[in-house]
Amino acid sequence: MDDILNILSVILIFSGLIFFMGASVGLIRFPDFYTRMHAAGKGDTLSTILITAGMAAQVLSHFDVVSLFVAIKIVAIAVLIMLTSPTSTHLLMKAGYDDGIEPFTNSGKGGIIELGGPFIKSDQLDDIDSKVKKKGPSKKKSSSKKKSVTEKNSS
Amino acid sequence: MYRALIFSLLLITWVILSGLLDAFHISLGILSCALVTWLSSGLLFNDRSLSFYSRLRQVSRLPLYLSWLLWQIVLANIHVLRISFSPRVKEQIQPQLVRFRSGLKSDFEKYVLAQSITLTPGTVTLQIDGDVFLVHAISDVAAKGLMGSMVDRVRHVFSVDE
Amino acid sequence: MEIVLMVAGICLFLMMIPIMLRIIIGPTAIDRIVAVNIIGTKTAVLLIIIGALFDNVSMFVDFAIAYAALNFLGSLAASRYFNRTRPAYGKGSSMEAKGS
Repeated sequence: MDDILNILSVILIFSGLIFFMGASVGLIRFPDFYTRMHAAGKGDTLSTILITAGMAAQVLSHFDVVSLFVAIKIVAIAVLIMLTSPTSTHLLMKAGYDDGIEPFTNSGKGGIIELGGPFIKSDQLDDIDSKVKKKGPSKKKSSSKKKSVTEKNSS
Repeated sequence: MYRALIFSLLLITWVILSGLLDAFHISLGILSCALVTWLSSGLLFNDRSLSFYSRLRQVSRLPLYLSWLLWQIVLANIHVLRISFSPRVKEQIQPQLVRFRSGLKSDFEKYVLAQSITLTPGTVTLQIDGDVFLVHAISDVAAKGLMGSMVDRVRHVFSVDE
Repeated sequence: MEIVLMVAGICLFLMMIPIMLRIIIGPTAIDRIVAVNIIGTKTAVLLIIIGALFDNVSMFVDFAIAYAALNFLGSLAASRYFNRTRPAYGKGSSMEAKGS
C-alpha cells in the first residue's frame, strides 16, 4: 500500500512539473498578452492540482489522524487554486482589454466574430453590438474595420 | 433551513482548518460559527426560492460535470504544451475574439460557464456583459467548438425539474 | 523519497526563472502581474514540498493556504487598480504612440 501511494505521488508530481514547464515556456514564447494568458491560466491550474494531489498521496502514505487532516488541507489548497486561478486570469485579461491592448492576429482579420447563440434573435444582435462595442480596441479601429463574419443562429 | 446549512458548512471548515478535536476548541468554533451565521448569512445562496430537494438534485449532477471538466483541463494542457514547444509558434495559432449569447440566468451559472471556458482547450473568457460572453480563442478549431456541448452541459447541471 | 522531493523542488524553482524573465521584459504592466501571480501560486506549492522535506507538513500547509488566498486577493486588487488608471503600458509598447 505504501509503495503504491509513493509511486502514484511520484508520477503525479512529475507530470505536474511537465505541465508547468509547458506553462512557463509558453509564457516566454507566445506572441502577445492574450495568448500568454492561455498558457498562464491553464498550465498554472493543472500543474498545481497535480503536484498538490501528489503531495497529498505522499502524506497519506503513513496513515494516521493527523496526516488525514493534513491531506484534506492540501486538497483544500488544490480546490482553492482551481476556483481562484481562472477568476484572476479572467479579471487580468479584462483589465488588459479595457486598457486597449491590441490582440495579435496573423490572418489580418480584426474585429469580433459573432457566433450568435441558442436564444439570439437577429434584431437583438445590433443592440448587443452597440452595448459591447462601447469599450475596447475594436471601436478605435472602426475606420479600417474588416468585415466580421456573422453567423446568426448557427448550431 | 439555509441558516443550518451555512452553519454546518462553516463548522466543517473550522474543524478541518484547526485540526484539534478537544472540547474547548470545538465549543469555540461553534460559538464563532454561530456569530458569523447570525451576522452575515445573507451572503451565501442568493436565490432562496428553490426547494431544498431541487438544490440537492443540482449538487448531485455536479460530480459528473466536474470529472468531465478535469479531463478537458488535461486536454487543454496538452494543447498548450504542444503549441509552446512547436518550432514556429506564430504559424500554429490564429487568435480571434468571439462573442456569443449563452442564455443563462443566474450569476452562479455564468460563473461556472466562464470557469469552464477558461479551462477548456484554446479559449479564455474575456468579458461577460449581461449574458453575452466575449471569448478569446487561440485557433479556428477552438472558436468553432465553442458553441458545442458546453453550454448545454452547464444548463443541464443547473436545470430545475419539479 | 527525499531525493525525489528535492529534485521536484529544484525543478519548480528552475522553471520559475523564465517567468522571472517575463517580469523583467514584460511589455505591459499586466504581463508582469500575471507572472507574479503564477510565481505566487507555485510558491504555495513549493511551501508544501519544503514542509515534506523538513518532516513538518502540518505546519507548512497552513502557510500555504494563507499564501494562496493572499495571492488571489493581491492579483485581484492589482487588476482593479490597473483597470482604473490609464498609464498601464510599459516602455516601447505600440500603445504609447497611439494615445487614447
